Amino acid sequence: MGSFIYLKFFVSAMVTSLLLALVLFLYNARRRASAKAEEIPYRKLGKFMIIASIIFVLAVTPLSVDMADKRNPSPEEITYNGATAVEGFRVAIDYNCMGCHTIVGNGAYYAPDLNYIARRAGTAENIRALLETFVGSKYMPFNMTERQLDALTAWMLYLRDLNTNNWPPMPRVEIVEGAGTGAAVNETLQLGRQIYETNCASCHGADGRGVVPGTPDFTDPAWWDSMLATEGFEGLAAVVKNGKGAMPAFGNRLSDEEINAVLAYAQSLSGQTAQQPAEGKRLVFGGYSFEPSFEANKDRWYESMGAWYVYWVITVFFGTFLIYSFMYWYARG
Amino acid sequence: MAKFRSQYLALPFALVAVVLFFVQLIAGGLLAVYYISPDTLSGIVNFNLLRTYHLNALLFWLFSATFAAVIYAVPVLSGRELWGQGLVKLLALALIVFVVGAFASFPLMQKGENVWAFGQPLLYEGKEYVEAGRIWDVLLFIGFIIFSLVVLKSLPPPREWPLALWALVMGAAVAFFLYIPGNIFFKSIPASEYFRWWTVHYWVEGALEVAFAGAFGLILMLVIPVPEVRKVVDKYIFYDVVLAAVSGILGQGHHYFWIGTPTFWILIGGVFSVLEIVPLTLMALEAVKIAKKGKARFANVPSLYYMVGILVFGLIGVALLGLVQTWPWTNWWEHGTWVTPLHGHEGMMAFAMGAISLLYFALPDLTNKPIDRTFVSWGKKAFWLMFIGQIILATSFGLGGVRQIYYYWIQGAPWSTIMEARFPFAVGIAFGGGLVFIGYLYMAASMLRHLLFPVSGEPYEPPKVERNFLNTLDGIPFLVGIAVFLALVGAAGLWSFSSTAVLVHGNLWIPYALSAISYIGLAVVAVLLASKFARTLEYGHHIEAV
Repeated sequence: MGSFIYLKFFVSAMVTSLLLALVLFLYNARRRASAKAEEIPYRKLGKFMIIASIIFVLAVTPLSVDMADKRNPSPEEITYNGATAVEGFRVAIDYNCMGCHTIVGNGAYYAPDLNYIARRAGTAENIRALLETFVGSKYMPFNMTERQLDALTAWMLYLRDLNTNNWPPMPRVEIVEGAGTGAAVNETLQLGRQIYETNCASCHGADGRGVVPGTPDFTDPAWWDSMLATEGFEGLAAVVKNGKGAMPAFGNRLSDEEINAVLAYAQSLSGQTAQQPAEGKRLVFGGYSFEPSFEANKDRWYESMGAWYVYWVITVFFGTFLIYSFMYWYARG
Repeated sequence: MAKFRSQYLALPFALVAVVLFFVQLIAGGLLAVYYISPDTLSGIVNFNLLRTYHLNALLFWLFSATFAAVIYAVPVLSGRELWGQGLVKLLALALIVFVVGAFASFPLMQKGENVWAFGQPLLYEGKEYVEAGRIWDVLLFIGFIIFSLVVLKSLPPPREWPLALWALVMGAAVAFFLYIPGNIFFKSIPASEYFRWWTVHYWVEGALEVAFAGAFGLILMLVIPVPEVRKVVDKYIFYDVVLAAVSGILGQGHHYFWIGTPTFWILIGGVFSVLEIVPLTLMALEAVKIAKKGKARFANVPSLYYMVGILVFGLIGVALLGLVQTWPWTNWWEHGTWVTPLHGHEGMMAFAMGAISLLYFALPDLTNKPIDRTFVSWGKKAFWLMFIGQIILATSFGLGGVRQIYYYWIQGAPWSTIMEARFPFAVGIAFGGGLVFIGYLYMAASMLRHLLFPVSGEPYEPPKVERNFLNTLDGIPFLVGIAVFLALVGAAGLWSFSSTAVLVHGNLWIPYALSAISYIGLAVVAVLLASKFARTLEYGHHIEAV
């Protein structure tokens, strides 16, 4: 099935309900005109529909909370340094994370979404580093123990892996190795990537777009153009070596070669050909869509195509009732 | 003069409501300080603590005001004194203990010093809207049971109930019992959020569309005791309750798009949350019919204005601003941004107005003082300041949210950039909030003056006013049509974020312009509708027309 599958189900259910309601309405016109208000058996129908909708919600509740075919990871199995995600959830409840952040989009909108942050950061180490940066700062003025930070890390890994139907919106970015790149180029970039992910990604983001306020957007080619024009590659290498502002110095941790490799990798995130040998590597912008999750989910029986036809029929059933009732009410006054 | 002594037991609940409303507004004001200057209060009173107060003060004052209204109304309905008056006094005490206890334990979240027992957080929990800890939850639930017992024992046998009373009782019962699932600790986020919405969403559905509809049906029947009115109200309640229940129970699925629940909710939740505008439109159109049928003027003008407030916020805030964002394709972009509080603030204000209306309705009868000119004029000022202030506040949220979508989801900018992008709108939020606060002062002043000081003026008589577009019911269906159209424009605005015109060519003016037209247009229509309804009913223009 191609794209817009949700749209097809959605629109066809709406249109079918509307048409069915119209047909019923016209079919009943004469009877409605001749009957007295009490004679129309609407009361029974109304009560029946309320009960039917309650039964439907109760029937799908076990599927929704993951009691059937598991759709989400188990929070008890995700751990970091021995702390489980459940423990992390308790910490999150104790500090009321939801009072500033959103979790799966619910909560306050004062701080970024936690699923989003976890996916941007990517790895457990990055998440842990982010927590260390922010917990205790003026943004999150709490004193947390190491164990609590570990637990929160595990919990954020759990949030990262939840199957949220492809929300939050993130561009599908793929790094495509172009043809004709030599082995040496790939090796440099592989090395750069490794270094980037362990040292840089916690602040600059795994995708280079920056997590901590004040960090530049590495995916922006214009930023690289202006920096290379003013500072040059050597100037940037000096920043990595000696640090700048809140950024620590990496000179004692990374060799010159490693710094060059990490810069090459960072620049390749912008889709530009790096000045250093990163030729042939491109960032492919895949656009936004929540469609692919349908493909990913359809192997569970209650989310398979056959099941969707059943949901469609149920939707049309209730939809027709709602629209027909409105027409009925309007005509009877 | 109130007919029954036990009706006075409503007063402590009303007082608690007015005080908690004040707490809510102060917390809201401090939240606005955070939006404008993030560092000022950080470390002293954290944002999440203030937000907890903001939400919980709202919930508890709504509960408290509803208790007050029901305690006031039940003796009249049953024609005798309330059963178990000692229990009601105990309930008032328990409510105060509950509020003080819950509010006193919230500050512990700044240090994370919670107490856990039986796998449950006892003092507070970091779950939006249900932040009260388990001890307080149990206390509140006992309160609910006492309250239900008193009401059910006091009312006549169910065979004699009008439908409106059924709606009120059933709506309240649903709201009470569904308090439980949202307050259980689940390890998994999908389960936790799934059941939390049972509580939060069904409060909205059960309370606004069912219980409040019932309450106002009852008021209509009390004010105009003619059998014909009972017939009209019965029919309206029946349709409204059936449609609201079916669309609400299934439309709840719009919360289940992205929380880790199966994909079929995108179909079910999407279609039925769109169809949730059906009962609310019905409510609005039915109100026009009932208003045209009324043969007497409604003397309690402030209460009337706030009733109109529920209707307009119910239609514009709950139904149409909900329609803007409830389509799965628009929801995908707006979820988790400031567009949601646009809907949230206008929607919750519908409840707030309902509760204020009930308080205003009961007050003159309990104090046995005339509804004089000052009472009416302060009440009206309070209404307009709150109404317009809340619309400015909510619209600012929405416009800021549309800008946030671009910087947040498309640019993936650092959070500081998003804060900067939203900043101009934070000023609008603070300004609108300021107006609401001044409105509150007028409201509280008019109520306290009526309660505590002698009032000796003549009863208020509305002046003779020339009929014009703003004080007659002409063209309401047309305005409602315009509003629906504007809501669809807003939905198109959010959906346009998915288009290549925005994503590839960067034509940001498309979503910005469509959203601005929609949100500001809906704000204007809301003010027009409120003015038309409220003033028609106040001046009695529809009566001459009949």
